[in-house]
This record gives sequence, C-alpha cells and structure tokens, in this order.
Amino acid sequence: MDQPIQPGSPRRVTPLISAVAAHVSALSWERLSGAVRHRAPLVVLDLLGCAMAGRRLGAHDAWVQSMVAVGGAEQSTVWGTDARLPAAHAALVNGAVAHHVEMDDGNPRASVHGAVTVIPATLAAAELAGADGRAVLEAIVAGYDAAVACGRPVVRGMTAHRLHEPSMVGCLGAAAGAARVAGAATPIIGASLSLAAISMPLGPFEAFTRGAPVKDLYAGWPAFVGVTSAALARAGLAGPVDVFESPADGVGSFLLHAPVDEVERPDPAELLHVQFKAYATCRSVQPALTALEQLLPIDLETVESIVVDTYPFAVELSRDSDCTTPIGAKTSVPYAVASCLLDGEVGPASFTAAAVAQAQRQAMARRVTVRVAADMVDPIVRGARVEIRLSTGERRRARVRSTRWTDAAPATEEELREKFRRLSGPAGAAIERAVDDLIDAPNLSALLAALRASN
Amino acid sequence: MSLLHEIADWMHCARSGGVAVPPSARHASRRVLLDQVGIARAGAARFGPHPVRDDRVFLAGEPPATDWHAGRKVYAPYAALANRCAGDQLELTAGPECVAAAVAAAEIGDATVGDLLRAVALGASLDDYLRGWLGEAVERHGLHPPAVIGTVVAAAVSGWLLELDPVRLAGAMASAACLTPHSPYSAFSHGASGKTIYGGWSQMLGVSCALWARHGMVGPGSALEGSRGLAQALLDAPGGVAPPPFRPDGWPVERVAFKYFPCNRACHPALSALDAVRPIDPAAVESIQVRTYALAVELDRRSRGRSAIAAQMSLRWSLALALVHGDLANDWAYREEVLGSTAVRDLAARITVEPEPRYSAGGQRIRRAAVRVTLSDGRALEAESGARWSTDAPATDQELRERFARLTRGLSTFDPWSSPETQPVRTLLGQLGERPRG
Repeated sequence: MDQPIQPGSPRRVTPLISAVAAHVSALSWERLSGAVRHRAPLVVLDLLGCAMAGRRLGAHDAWVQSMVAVGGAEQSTVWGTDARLPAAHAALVNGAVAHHVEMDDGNPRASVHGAVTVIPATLAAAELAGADGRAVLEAIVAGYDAAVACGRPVVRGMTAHRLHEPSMVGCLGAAAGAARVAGAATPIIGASLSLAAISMPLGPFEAFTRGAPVKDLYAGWPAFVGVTSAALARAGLAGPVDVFESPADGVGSFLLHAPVDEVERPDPAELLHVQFKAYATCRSVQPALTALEQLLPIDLETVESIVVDTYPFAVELSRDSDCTTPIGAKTSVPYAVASCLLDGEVGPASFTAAAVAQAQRQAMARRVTVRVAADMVDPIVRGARVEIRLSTGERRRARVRSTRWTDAAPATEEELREKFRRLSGPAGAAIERAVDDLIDAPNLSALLAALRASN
Repeated sequence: MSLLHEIADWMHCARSGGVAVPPSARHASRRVLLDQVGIARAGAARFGPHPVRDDRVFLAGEPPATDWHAGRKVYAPYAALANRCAGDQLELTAGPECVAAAVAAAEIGDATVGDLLRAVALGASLDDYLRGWLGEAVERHGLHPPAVIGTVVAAAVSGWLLELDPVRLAGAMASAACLTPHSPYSAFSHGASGKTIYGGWSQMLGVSCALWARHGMVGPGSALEGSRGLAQALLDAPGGVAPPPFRPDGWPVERVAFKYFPCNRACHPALSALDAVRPIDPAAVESIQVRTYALAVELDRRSRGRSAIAAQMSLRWSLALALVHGDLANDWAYREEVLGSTAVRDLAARITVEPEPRYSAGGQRIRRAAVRVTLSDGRALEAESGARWSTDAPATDQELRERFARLTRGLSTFDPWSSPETQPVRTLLGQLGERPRG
C-alpha cells in the first residue's frame, strides 16, 4: 500500500514509465540487432497487408466515409483512399480497418497487438512530422518495446477481468511510437506514456465475442489515444508519472499487476517475440486450426462430428462467441473449424456477412464439440487435439502443442511476403517496394503514394 | 432484452411521450446547465486555454459545435472535450457527467433548450443508476467514477439528442462502455495535470460514440452485464452479473448536490464544519482533529505532493488553505505560491484526519465530518456538519444564480437561466459571441 505522505514531502521517482521513456528515447537503428532490423520492415508489411485486405472487404465503409467527411486539417493519409485527415483521425481509421481481418501480429509476452496499434499511430504522426523512413522504423520498434514493457506487469489482471489486453496496452505502444517519431524529448515521451495509461480503454471482451463492430476500434482507438496523448504531452499535460507504482489508485489497483520491482525492463529485441497470424481468427482458435490442417483434405460428406480438445481460455471464449456475426465468429472454434473444412483455409473471406449466413457452414459448425484438454490446463499449453469422426467409422486425429507461425515454427520471410501479396491484392507490389526501401527513404511519400494508389 | 436496450427504450419513450420529464426536473436540469457552463467559462478565464485547445488536438471538422470560451466552431467531440476541461481545475462540477456532450449534441441536432433540459434529466437518471450499481466498485478499484461512468451517460444523452433510434442508441452507449477510459485516481491524488482531462475525455468519447452509431459503429447490447462485459470486470464477478432493475426513482437530477467548495467532495463536510467555528486566527491554532467518513480519510491519505490538484483531494491542505487564505469558495486559493507558504504548510502538518465509525455504520457512507480545533490558549472549538449545499440543504436558485454571475462576471451576456424552452440551443449559444474580457 502507498505510505502516507505528510504535506511537503517530495514526490517519488517512478521507475517503469521513466525507464520505458528513456528506452524509447535512446533507441537507435545502429544499436539494434541485425535480426530486429530485419524484422522491422516485415511487421510493417504484414500490417499493411491486413489494412489493404480490410479496405478490399469494405470494412466499416459507412463509418470510414463518415470519418473522412469530418474533414479538418489534412495531416495524414487514410490508407487505401485519397483522403487525408487530422493525424489522430487517420490513425483511428487505419487501425480499425487494419484490425478487421484479425490477421495482425501479436506478442504473447504481454498479449499485445503491436502492429495494429503502434504502426497506424506512428505512421500518422510521422506523416505530420515529415519524418524519414529510418525514424519511422526506429519509432515502431520503440513502440513495440514500450507496449510489452508496460503490458507485462498488468496482463494477468487484464485477463482475469476478461478485458481485451491489446486494446489497453496498445495505447502505450502507440503513444511511444507517435511521440518518438515526432522527435519528442524523453520527458515528453514519458508524459505521453502516462497520458496513454490513464486514457486507455477498459475494453471488455464482450465486444469481440458478441461480434460488435466496435471491437475493431480496440485497435483504432488505441492508435487515436497514442497520437492524441503525444500531442497533449507536447501541449504540456502529463499523467501521473508513477501510475504503475500506485497500488491503491494506479494502473495496478484494478489490474492486479505484478510488483513493478519484479518487472523486467524494456527489451530491445521485443520485435523478435512477435508472432504473425496465418489465420483470420482470434489467436485462441488457431491451435485447433493448426491441428486440423494436418488432417486435410477430407471428404466433407463423410464428416459426422469433430471433437476439439484445447486450452481453457479458448474453450471459454468459444463458448461465449456469437458465431452468427463476422467478428464474433472469429472467436468460435466450431465456426473456424467448419470454415477450414469448407474453404480449405481460414482467411478474411471466411468471415464476411455472407459467409456467416451460410447454412452449410453453420451446420458444419454444429457438428463440432469443444472441450477443455486436461493436459493443457496447468501449465497452460496453447495447443489442441482434433479428432474427426467419419461415417466410415474411421477416426482421424492430430495434436499440436502450439500454433502455426508461433515460436516453435515462426513464419519465414517468404511466407510473410506471400501472405502480404495475398491480402493486399494488385496494389501490393508498390507498397512492398516502398516498405523494402523504407530504411533509406528521406520521407514517407513513396509509401503513402503506394497506399493511396491502392484505392 | 439487454440492459442497454432497455435503457434506450426508456429514453426513446421520453421522446415519444411515454415518459414525461416534469417541469421540476427540467428546472433542476437548468440549474445543472447554468452551473456547469458558469464553471467552464470561469475556468477558461482563470486558467487560460486548456492544453486540449492546442492546435494539434483542437481541430475543426464536421459536424461542428461551439467552443464556449472563444465562440469558434470545432469538431463537436472536441468542443465537448474543451468545454468540460475548461473548468475542471476549479473542481466545482456537480451533477451528471453529460452537460458538455449534451450541449454539443443539441447544437448538432438543432435541438431546443427544452430538449437539452430533458436530455440532462434523462442523463442524470442513468448516471444515478450506474453509480448506484457500479460506483462503489469503480472506487474500490481506485478508478475515477465520473470518468468511467460519465462516458456512457454522455453517449446516452448525445445519442438521444441526435435522435438515434433505440437500437443505435443502445449501440452508442455500448461503444462508450467498451472504450470508457481507465482513469486511475492517482492522476488526482498525485496531482497530475492529466487529471483535468478526465471529465472532458468522457464527453468527447460520448459524442463520438453517438456520431459513430449513426454509421453502424456500435458496441454490443450486453456491454455492461454480459459474461465478458464491463460490469463483471468492475464487480470482480467473472461470468456476468444480473444488473439491478432499471427503474428510475423519481428524477435524480432534482437531487444533485452542487459543490460549494472548489475541491474533492470528500473535503466538503470538514470545510463546512470548519466554517461553523470561524473566525479563527490560524496563528492561534495548535492542532485540528478531523473525524470523517472512511473514503474521505482514504483520499486524504493518498494525496501526494503540493500541486493544486493533489491538494484539492487533501483534507489537510484544504482546511489549512481555508484558514490561512480565508475564502476558499469565492477566491481561488489552490495556487502554488499559497500552497508553498510556510503558514499553510505548517498548519497542514498540525491537522490529523481519522475515520469516524458512526459515518460508516452498517456499511452506509454518511458524508459528514466532526472538526475539533484546539487553540494555543487551550480552548477547543468543535462542530459537526454535512457538506454545505448537500441534498439536506441544497443550494437555492438564488445562490446558484449569484455564483453563475460571480463566475462569469464580464464574460458575456450569455445566460441559460432565462432562455425559453422553445429557443434553439444554437440561438442560446449565439449569445456567447462576445469574447471574454480580462
């Protein structure tokens, strides 16, 4: 508990926000490992592929058009359109659209969707600031590091409260990226982080499982919060610098954080822990899909039932999901398994309004039973066993202890580029070239031109 | 039917005639409107442009609404943000957290003053319900109830004034529940300037959610009571909770307790008790013992540092300021130079604050305080009181009008007190045209 402070006592110095701000400020491309430098443009490419897929699907079109109609200062590009909006609004829209296909990356060390929160905020702020490509990549790396460093103390509390961790912690990463790319000094970066910490949404998971459109703002809003926090910090505002060290009324008072003294400091190699997504679903569904793929192809006419044993969180989330909605279906193991069988893959097309309305797909989903695997409970193993029972009497079984493209077998560069090309469509080549050239780019004009041309 | 759909239906009935907002509630709403507008204008005049009015944040856009300070038009959510933030540092705002959002939405929707007053009354009912259900849990987790709950209320009144249908109105409230800010109390207790955006952020987000709902960007109807909703998180009840029935008890807007002193409400009973034993020469004070309700003691204990914001949450600093400075209510004393004075610092150190079990009997929170002032000549002065202007002895219309006049002296002819209910809000806001002087 906080100790009472008598009037006149000095304030404490806060280690976590200060440490993260110092790390964000000091990070430089030269001092990053070769592996991180190689990974940085790939995370940008992966996210932009998701964004282009979201645009091609017409994600939230009416809402996007309404945001474009807001107008205002033309500071930053709305990807996939000719429109430019105030930086915070561009970050909001780009984050939401990019998240829609649910294929953006994650870092399980703090349950962070780094790309979809950090990159829209950083690119929007960079465009406003006229930053060069190297500054952008440095800021993105710093944003990922900040999000994880701030997220690790509180992630267990977020999970326990059934809150959507990425929507919360993503604000801090976005603030770090936006502040850094705008050239903010260390105290301003710290103020940006503390403002993001007090403004981050509570993000109940209900939006995801019930399939509400606002779930996609769980990426866009943190990007908005990040850009706005950085701007407010430059205007002179700050949150409580010891927001992580105040168990009675700080971040940890609600989120049951680990003692900050036990929390590791920012890791400049955090980007290497990023896991890319091969499927357009919540990560909880993906072990089952990874196992199922081992059993394909299969004659659908012969499938009588499917039993999936997996870890508790995946089972509970799936049980709560509303798989009649495109967003809610992404948390449903039965729906995803059915889609995998019907489509041969689980991509964005499996989660359109038309897809979830298909009777055949829903009927197949009803043949899927999801259970807790006793051997994946303690310790938690994010794996799955799948058994397909066929009308021939045959039973096909597969088991995985992790998900495709996770640490055990990370995605190769070629796999990521192939994913990008598949998601981005015809406009992808120019975007890919611009991202590949980003480190030496004097500004973002080539990338932004490519993103606009994809309209 | 989800809770938010039920609430949205109830609000819709207030438009269709099924629920009538009586004149007494509309009058009470006008009192809230008058006070909050006055506080915002006074705050802007005293403290200058709030940082949210920085050009990087405070942007033009469609639909526009009026910045009460300068009279210019900006994107409506930012108008709500700035108008609520402007007076935040005065720490005088009372009533439902929806007025800035409601005025912005009324302006967008070309609503009348009568509509605005009805919206504030409806918002107060929702605010009262949510605070009754979730307020204690929000406090227990160290979060700031007006910020967390106010977002949903602001979305509700904004959506109502924008004439959203009940489904979209529920969706707007649900978005607000999903995106409501974390808002830890430490911004207040540690005196961070970021605390001054807590009220405004909820107003900005509320208007935004209502505007977004027009275009299909909505939250889930079960955002509050669902198995993964906001309530289960706040109430530590994984799996979902059964919300209490939404049956508005009269019109809570009629029971708003206005704030007499510019500080956290927890300080008010002790300040009121102190007023009862004044005048006192601060130099003659040996010690002051305050016994009050548990939360007030806890908030005082958490208050750190000498910034104005932290001091506004501290009983010890507030009592010391009141004695040394004189008139806490009518003269802004929470200034760095005053807080840093030896007289204030030394007196604050001679004040003790203890919990009084009588004020927490049976789990009730009785917002009272007993103050005992021991003088250096051995005499002791004692008084016990609730907060001045609490619901036991509410501020009169005359008192509120006098405060409004005092707060806005010389700012403009703008006066929401006398505007007819048929008058468009846009016309009322047109009276803001005169720029502040001085």
